[in-house]
Amino acid sequence: MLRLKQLRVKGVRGIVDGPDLFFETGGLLLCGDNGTGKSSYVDAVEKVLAGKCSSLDIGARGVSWRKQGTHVNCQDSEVELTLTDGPQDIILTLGTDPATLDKQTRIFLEAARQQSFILRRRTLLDFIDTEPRKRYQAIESFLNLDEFASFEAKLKDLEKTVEAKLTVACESRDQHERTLREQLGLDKLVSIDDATCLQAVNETLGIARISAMTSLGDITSTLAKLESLLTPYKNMEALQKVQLLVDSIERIPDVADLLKAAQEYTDARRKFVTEEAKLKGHFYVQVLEKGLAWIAEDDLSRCPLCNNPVTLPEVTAYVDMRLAENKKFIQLKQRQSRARSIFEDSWRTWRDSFESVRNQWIDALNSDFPDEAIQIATGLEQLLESHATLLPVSTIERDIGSSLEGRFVEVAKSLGATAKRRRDSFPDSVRYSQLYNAKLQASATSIHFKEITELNRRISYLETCNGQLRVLSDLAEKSRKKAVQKLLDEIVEIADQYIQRIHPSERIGNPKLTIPERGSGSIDLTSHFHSETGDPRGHYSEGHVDSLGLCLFLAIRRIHHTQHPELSLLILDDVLHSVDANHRRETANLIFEEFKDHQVIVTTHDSLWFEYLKLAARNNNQAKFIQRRIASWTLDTGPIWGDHLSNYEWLVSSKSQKAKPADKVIKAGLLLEEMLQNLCNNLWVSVPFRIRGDYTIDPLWTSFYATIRKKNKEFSAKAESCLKEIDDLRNLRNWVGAHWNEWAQTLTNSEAGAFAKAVLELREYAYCEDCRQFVRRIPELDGVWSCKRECKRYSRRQRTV
Amino acid sequence: MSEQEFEDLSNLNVVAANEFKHALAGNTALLPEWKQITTQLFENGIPQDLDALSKLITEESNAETEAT
Repeated sequence: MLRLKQLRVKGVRGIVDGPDLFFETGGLLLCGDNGTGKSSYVDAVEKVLAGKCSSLDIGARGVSWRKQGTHVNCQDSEVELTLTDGPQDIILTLGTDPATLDKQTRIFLEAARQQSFILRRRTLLDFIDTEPRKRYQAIESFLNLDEFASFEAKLKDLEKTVEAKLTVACESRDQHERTLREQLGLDKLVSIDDATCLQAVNETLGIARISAMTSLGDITSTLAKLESLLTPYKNMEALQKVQLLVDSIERIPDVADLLKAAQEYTDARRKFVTEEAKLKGHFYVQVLEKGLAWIAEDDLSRCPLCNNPVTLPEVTAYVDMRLAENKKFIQLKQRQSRARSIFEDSWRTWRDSFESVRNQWIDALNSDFPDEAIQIATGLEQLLESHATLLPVSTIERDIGSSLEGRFVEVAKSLGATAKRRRDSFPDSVRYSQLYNAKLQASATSIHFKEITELNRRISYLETCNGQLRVLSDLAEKSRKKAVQKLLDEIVEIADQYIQRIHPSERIGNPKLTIPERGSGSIDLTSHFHSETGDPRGHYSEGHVDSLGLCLFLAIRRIHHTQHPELSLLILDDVLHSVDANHRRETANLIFEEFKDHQVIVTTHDSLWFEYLKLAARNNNQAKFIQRRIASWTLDTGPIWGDHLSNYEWLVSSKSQKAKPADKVIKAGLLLEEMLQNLCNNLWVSVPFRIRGDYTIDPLWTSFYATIRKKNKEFSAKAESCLKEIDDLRNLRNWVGAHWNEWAQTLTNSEAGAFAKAVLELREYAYCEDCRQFVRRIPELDGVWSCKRECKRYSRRQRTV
Repeated sequence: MSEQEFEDLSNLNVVAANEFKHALAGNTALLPEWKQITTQLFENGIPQDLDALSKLITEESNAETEAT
């Protein structure tokens, strides 16, 4: 099974360039103060495995991996995560294309993308604080309901299909109803049924003096009867045409009016022409009026234009006469224009009427338009054309004389008589109308009522189908909810077991996740607090809510893992701030006992909990863990290791050989301090009390050295030389300690080397590389000091060979 | 909870289908023909298609269309 092996990080969040992280089969415990880069490592792991970083890619504006994923002083970020399944290593980077990986790794990554395996401080309460819908979405990925959901979707599709058919059928039915109402003259408020249709048709049959139907079943025979009665009226369409022709002939204007308009025009024309002939040249009213004003104002005796002698009265009289003549002339011109317009309109109207008759004639009577009438039509057309301009009076009198009247009247009369004769040759049209209406209504009822009845039946069936599909959909939804509820019950059962382990006898827990009746994509959360049940945020302390959040997450992880064991990874990033020491100890035990089948990575800023975690990992889990401590962080360096392993690794590396003596002593001092803290703790060494546990090397060493010599002869005998060396170099150790100072710069390489050698030798006796722990006192074995598997074992008394 | 129980529950498709079949059998609002056809759909597990139900609707429509 794949697990994490090594993580190299460069330019990510708070990390500039390493240090690298190594993971054992059991996992990694990482301690460091806030802001020292712990979460940056978690971000890098998540980004490579899941393709996103949940602490950055949170959907908030301006926050994303792309924008803030890279260290502020770096151009780019690099992550190299080594996975291993034992014999084979797989290296993943930020740019790794999953398609290029083997199947096992692809499945691993797919699981990481789908499942939640990282819990952070800021997401600890997400499942509790979020709204019910998002709670559902949080677990949706492992509901494994795709096939059943597909069945439900298909049911919904069928419902939609039936809905569409219903719409079409209803629209068709409504259209038939509208047509039938129109035909039967029924109001919108009257329902369309047998009785109303029967009554409406019977009324029309009554008007046509046809016996009423007893039911709509009689409609076929009634239609047959009506057809029979209408047989003689087969040509009634022709009658309608003839009637229309008669009407058109009667609408031809009276010829007398036509001639009257022509006479008016002739008179007006004649008078105008006569008056025009009288006028002597052009006439300028304004010139006359202006000239008259000059003469009057200047009292002139001669004409200003021709210089002839003039008198004002003569000129005034003459001008007045001329103005009167002009006024009369204009009036005659206007009258001629009006008369001409009336003449043209009258004759055009007459011509149009006559043309209309001519057009209807052939269709209605099936015979040619009479020759005489054609001559009149042609003549009229020519006349209107030739009189489009003003012609002499004599021409007008010749063309439009009273002689026309006789011909026009005679032809019109003749046309009317012919058409009427044809009309009168048809049977009774009133009777026809009654029978025809009755037939129309009966026929409409026969067609539309049948359609309506059939459509109503179909609509009823489709509604039944819809109802049945709705029942099935409801049943399916309820079944799905029940299935999900079962899973939720399992989740809360597991979560409650976890809660009871952490909070025994506290009468809290028993969480319930419930799919509500309303909707289908949400989950309600309640839990117990003594006798109360409700939203946990209402009753629980902050610590209890934190515990509940963690336990729900762990329960979900447990279910996730059961479904997809490919991903056996659990990362807890600095969770549980508000939980007290005792509960944290139980939490640590729970994590390492219940998740033995996982690689567990826990980060914390709390040294005490770090110790609990180390102890719990050791006691409850056979797998190996790596424990690292971050001492400090700067923007330029990123995290700086501060644990004994890093100091030890430095001292045995080639770097140490070339290092300055002071640096060597500082590293050896740090290693000694870390070792003494562990050994004093593990070997139950009594150390003078210091507030906040702020111990320096001196009290630790003094107590430790005294205890060794008194309580474990074997260890003190075996490590005698290095113990003595360290004790002898008391000044060196005390002056340099774990801190850089000026004095350290004067040390020789030989002095520093001796001190470092003694410290490393002590580590050889006190630390087991296989068990990855310092020896500890085993009370059950009479105070034997040993590592977990007794690879290193020291008796109280020196063994004799 | 045993591993087997976990595995049974992990496939909610099957759990939901079983619940549905159970609910189907006890439902009185369904017409016999509909109940029978839907039950048959589940004989081999989760139905892949709903042709039989679809046919029930379409056949009736066709018959009506022809009659019309």
